[in-house]
Order: sequence, then C-alpha cells, then structure tokens
Amino acid sequence: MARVLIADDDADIRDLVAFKLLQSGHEVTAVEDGMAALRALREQPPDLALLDIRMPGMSGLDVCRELRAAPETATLPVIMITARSQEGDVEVGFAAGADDYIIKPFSPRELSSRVNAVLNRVER
Amino acid sequence: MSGAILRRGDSTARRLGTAFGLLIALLLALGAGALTCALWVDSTHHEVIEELEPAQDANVYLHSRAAIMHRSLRTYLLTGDRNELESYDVARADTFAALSSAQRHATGMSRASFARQVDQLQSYVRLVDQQAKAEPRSEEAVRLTPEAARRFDAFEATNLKLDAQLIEHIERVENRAAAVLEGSTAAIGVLLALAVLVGVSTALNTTRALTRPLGNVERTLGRLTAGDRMARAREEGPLEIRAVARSVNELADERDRLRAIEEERERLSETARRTGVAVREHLDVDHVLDTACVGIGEGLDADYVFVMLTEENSPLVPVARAWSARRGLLPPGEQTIPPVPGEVVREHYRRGETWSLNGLNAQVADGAPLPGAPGSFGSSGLPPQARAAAEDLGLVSVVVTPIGVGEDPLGAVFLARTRPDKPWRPVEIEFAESMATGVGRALHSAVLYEQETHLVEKLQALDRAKSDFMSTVSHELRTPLTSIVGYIELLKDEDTGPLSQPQRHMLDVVDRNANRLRSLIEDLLTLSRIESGAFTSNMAAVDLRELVGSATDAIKPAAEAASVELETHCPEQPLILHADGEQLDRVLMNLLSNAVKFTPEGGRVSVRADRRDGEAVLSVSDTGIGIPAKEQEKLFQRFFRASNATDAAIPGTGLGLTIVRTIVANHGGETEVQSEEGRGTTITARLPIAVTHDATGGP
Repeated sequence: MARVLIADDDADIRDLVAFKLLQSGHEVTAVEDGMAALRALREQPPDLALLDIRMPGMSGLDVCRELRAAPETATLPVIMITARSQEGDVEVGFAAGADDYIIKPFSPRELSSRVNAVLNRVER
Repeated sequence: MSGAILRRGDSTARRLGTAFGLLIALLLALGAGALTCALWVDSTHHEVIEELEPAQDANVYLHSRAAIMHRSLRTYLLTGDRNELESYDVARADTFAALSSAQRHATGMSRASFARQVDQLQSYVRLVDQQAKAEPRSEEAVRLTPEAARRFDAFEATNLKLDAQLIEHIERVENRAAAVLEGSTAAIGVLLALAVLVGVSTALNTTRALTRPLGNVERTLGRLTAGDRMARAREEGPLEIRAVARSVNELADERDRLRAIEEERERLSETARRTGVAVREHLDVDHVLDTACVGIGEGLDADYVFVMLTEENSPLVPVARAWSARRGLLPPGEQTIPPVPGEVVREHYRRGETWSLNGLNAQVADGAPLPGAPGSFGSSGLPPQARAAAEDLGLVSVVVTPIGVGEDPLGAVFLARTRPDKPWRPVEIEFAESMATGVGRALHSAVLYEQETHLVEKLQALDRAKSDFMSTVSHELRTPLTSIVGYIELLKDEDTGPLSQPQRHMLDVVDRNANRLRSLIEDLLTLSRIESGAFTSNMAAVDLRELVGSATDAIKPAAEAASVELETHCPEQPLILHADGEQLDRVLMNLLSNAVKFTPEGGRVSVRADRRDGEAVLSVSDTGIGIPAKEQEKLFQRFFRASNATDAAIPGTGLGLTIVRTIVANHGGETEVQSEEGRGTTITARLPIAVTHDATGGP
C-alpha cells in the first residue's frame, strides 16, 4: 500500500495506470502535466512518482530535476515513462535522477511489477 | 712609313688593301725595271756583237789585206820577184772583197769611214796598178812610190781611226751597259727591300692592331659566358674588331634584356602561382574575390583591380570587388565604376580574349568607340557614366579578361593603371589573363561549393525535420498504442470480469495486430535513425563473438518455444570490429528472429562468425521455408514480404532485412542472401575487421 503519483497528458493512459495500480492496492493521484505534478508532489509528497517524459509545458525530466533539487523530495522514487522517440532518452532520464524507466507501449502488468520493485528497493 | 698608312682605328681591310696595293705597285715597278734593264742590256749586247764587233773585225781584216797588198807590191818593185806581184794581185782581190764585206757590216759612223776607205783605196790602187805595170826598180816606179805611200798612209790612217773609234765605242757601250745593270740591280734591291719592309711592317702592325682588341673581345665573351652580366667589350682597334665588340655588347645587352624579361616572367609566374594557391585556399566567394584582387593588383603592379560578377536575372554586371593600390580593398558599397551591360560581358566572354588598351584617357575624352572592345563599347564607345568614372579614377591603361565556365560568363577581371609612363606590356597582359582565368575557375568552384554547402545545409535541415517528424510521429503513435495494448491486457487478464471464448479470440486478434503495429513503428523508427547515420557516433571496438553470444542467449527462449535447435560457430580468437555494438546486435537479433520465425518445428538455426579474406563474415542459416527464387532480389526492399511467409500468416513488418542491410552498409559491409524455397535460407554479412593491435603486439 503506497501513494503513487501519475503524471501523463493522455487521460486514457492515466486511467489505465490508475486502474492497474488501484487494483494492486495503491493510492493513486493522477495529474495531466508537469506543473500540476510538481504542485501535487509538493502539497502531498507520494511514495513514488510515475512521470511521462513528454508533456506540454514542463516535461517529466524537468519535474524530476526539480524534485532532486529540493531536499525533501531528493530521494523520492521516480519512474520515467518514455516513448523512446529519441535516442538517449533513457540516459537523459537517469541523468535527471530517475530510478527506473518504462517504455511505451508498456504492459500494465509490467508497470505494476516495476512500481512494486522500486518501492521494495526503497523500503529495504 | 707603313705605320703612317696603318693608322690605329682604321679598317684592317683598308690597311691590308693599302699595304698590298703598295706591295703590288712595288713589285710591278720592280718587274718593269728589271725587264727594261734586261731589254736594254740585251740591245746593247746586240749592237756590240752584231754591228760593232763585225765592223771592227772587217776593218782589221781589210787593213791586213791592204797591208799585204802594199808590202807585196813594194817588195816586187824592189826585187822584181814575180811571186810578189802574184801575191800583190791576190791581196788586191782580197782587199776589195774585204772592203765590200766591210761595207755590208757598215752602220752609222763606220759607213762613212768605209766609204772613205773605198775612195782612198781606189785612188791608191789606181796609182799602184801603174807602178805594177812599170819595170821594177825603174824610174817610173820610183817616181810613183812616194805618192803611193802617201795614199796608202791616208787609207791606213782612216782605217786605224775607224778601228780606234770602234774600240772606243764598244768600250763606251759596254761601260754604259755595266753601269745601267749596276744601277738597276741596286734599284731592284732597294725596291725589294722596300717591299719586304712593307710586308713585314703590315704583318706586324696588323697583328698588333688585331691581337689586343680581339683579346679584349675574347675576354669579354669569356666573362659573359661565365655569367658576368656587366661585362662589356671596349670598342677599340680596327673597324672590324670594333664592329665585333659592338656586336658582342649588343648581344650581351640583348641577353640582359631577355634575361630581364625572363626574370620578370618568372616573378610574374611565381606571383600567379602564389595568388592561385591563395585564391584556392578557401572555397568561399568572398575569400576568392579578396585574395584575387590583392594578389593580382600587387603582383601585376596595378593601380586598380575590379572583379565584375554577373547577377542572376540582372541585365547589368556590377563590380563585386574593387581594390586600389593606394587604399587596398575598397568597402563593398563604394561606387567605383558603374555596372557594365551584360551584353558586353557576354560578347567579351564569347570572344574569349583579353582586351587591353593603353591610352584609355585619350579615347575616353572624345567618347569615340574603343578599338577592339567587345559589344557596344567597341561599336559606340563607353556610356557617359562609365566615361566619367574612368576620368575620375584617372584610368590610363586597362586590361580586361572575361571569366566564366563553359557557355556561361561569370564576369570579368578588370585591371587598370593610372600612370601614363607604365602601359601594360604583353607579358603582363599574358599573366593578367592567366591569373584572371584561375580566379574565374576558383570563383566557379567557390560558387558551386557555396551552392553545394547551401544544398547540404538544406538537406541536413530536411533530415533533421524528418527525424523530428519521425520521433513526433512515433510518439504520437505510441501513446494511443499504449492505451490499446494496455486495455487489451486488462481485458485479457479478466481484470474487469470473465470473457467468453469468442470475445477472447477477438481480443487475441486485436492484440496481435496491435503488436504488429508496434513492430512496424519500432522498425520504421530504427530505419529512420540508421538511415540518417545517427548511430555512427557510437562506433567502438566490439568482439563479434560476444555479440553472437548475447544475441543467441536472447533468442534462445523463442527458439526453444518453437522447438528449433540453435547452434553457434565462433573462432577462438577475438573477432574485433570497429562498429556500433547496439546496431550490430540489432542485425543479429533481426536475422535470428527471422530464422527462428521461418523455421518449422524440429528445424535448425546456426550462427557462424568467421574471419575470411581479411573480413569478418557473419552468417545465419536456417532450415526454414526459404524464399522463392524470383522474389529474392526484392528481399531487401522496404515492406517486402515473401509470398510464402504471408501465405503462412507469419507476422512481420518487411523492414527487418532492410534494417540489416542498411546497418551493414553503414559499417562498410555487404549483405548477401542464399535461399532455396522449402530448404532454408542463409543470410551472410561481410564486415571490415578493425586494425587489431594484439596482432602487431601493440597496446
């Protein structure tokens, strides 16, 4: 049981991820862009953040960098969701401080397992 | 004497002529004198031998006969001896014979004497003939005796006088002859000595007059040959030597002049070469124009250089760059000379000849047509604006060379001088032409290069746009695909409730096609990336054996699931390639997944990595369905799928082999396919091997 924030500009994907994570017993907050994500993260820090890289306005990478820059969110687990549209997205994601990444199109099952894996790693 | 004739500085020929003339005159005089003398002596001898001596002999003989006659008669008259009388008669006859003989020899002075002797003898004989008739010792005989003696004495006196005269004459004649002979011998001797003196003196003088100046000329020639350019012969001595010395000096001057021309030519040639090199250094129009103007202007000592370039869709050809000796490169906007009508430039280029004119200022002043100038400049002269510009700049001598490539004129290179004392010389015009031609070529290259660079930039921008487009498209496609695939999974996992059999079947179809779509997107994106060459930044040394190992490990589950045997053959030595490992991994994965996909259960897939002919050879063989022979050549086309594969509903995008071939080609390699329908397929990739350091024992 953990609190997970999902930030993606595509509502269907937000719903998909929320559905799967809720089913896995997590509490889910879904936001539609980077600014909203950052706001939500500061208001009520979750246990893990799922950030889509490509979002209008503020990208997932920018959000991740902001999180890492602030002491209270510096260790917050982050999983980047990438369309791997550009070579090097993954490297850039890790450089920005992501803990893991998942490539679109992804399997909801795999997403759920990765979320759990990252959470377990953090708990240990 | 001869020294006076052979004065220093005279012509040797004249000297020799004079000397020889003198010699010949002397010899002629000598000959004539000798001949005259000989003839005269001869005639003297002749007179003595032929006239005087015979006359004398005859005279003496006459005297002897007459004496015998006189003595014989006296003896007879004294003795009465008849023998004596006979003797008298004989002598008397002899006497008259001698007398007539003497008269035959008589000449000149002896003739009168002989005539007198005849008279005297006849008068004597008349008397003695009477005595002879008288009785010896008779009175009559005695009486006549004194008279007879007197008459005989008279004859004898005449005879003896002639004899004395003749002797004296002969002596005189002979003395004179001897004197003449002596005199002429002396004269001949003197003349001969004179001739020898003239000859020797002429020889000595001529030699002396020739040797020193000739030696001087010879030394000068030697110095000239040795490279002393300043050496000149003194013009001295006889006319001919002075002429030779003058010729040598003129030759030396001419050689100096030629060498000066040659040196200038070399200098210009070096300048032209340096300018050519500088001009070609950068493929940039501005650079070419700048270096050309400065190089040509300074190299050819011009006062102005203008490069005029045609402009697209413009009837006028303006000055693209101007340079002045005083100010260097002029600011681009500065008005120097007005644009030239394109017609003039075209006509000039069509002619293909440099046009030059010394004395433009005079021609410009009256606005007359410029002689030999192209187009309207040659027919109706410069337009007023151009005339004013030429006058303002003070242009005096101009050289204009047209430049261009093929049929198309690029413009012209215009050189000008403002100094009336420095007209353009042919050699300068020649080099102006060759330098301008080089500039034309360089300009053309630069223009082409700039166009090409522009094109490349455009293409690169296009390529970037394409990449951006591809990444955007793939992102835009992946997002909906994520929802499709994700929700199918939820449905199939029955997270939202149980499914009926038909529903499950239909969801499988949707799922399969969603996956196909995903593969297509992946492959298209990959292809787009590798075709743009983006991967080349990840080149590194990779061991092909390791790549084969990891790829076979990755495909092993799929092969096992399809009950296909998987085997690898790798050399023991590392097989190092300079390559992008990730891309080669994709090649291997594409080939292996194809092989497994198209091989039925119980089949075999073998991967072989090898070194052959200095190349790495990677081949993936299967015992699968193969490719129909007539379709093999289309195998590498995008989206092409073999008919037997589609018939068997084996999924695929038709991009896998295109990706393989593109990656292999990007690594400088080649891809081949060997296949037989129903028997199997072998795809072989040949890749260049990296220069291995371990083989050479290096680091």
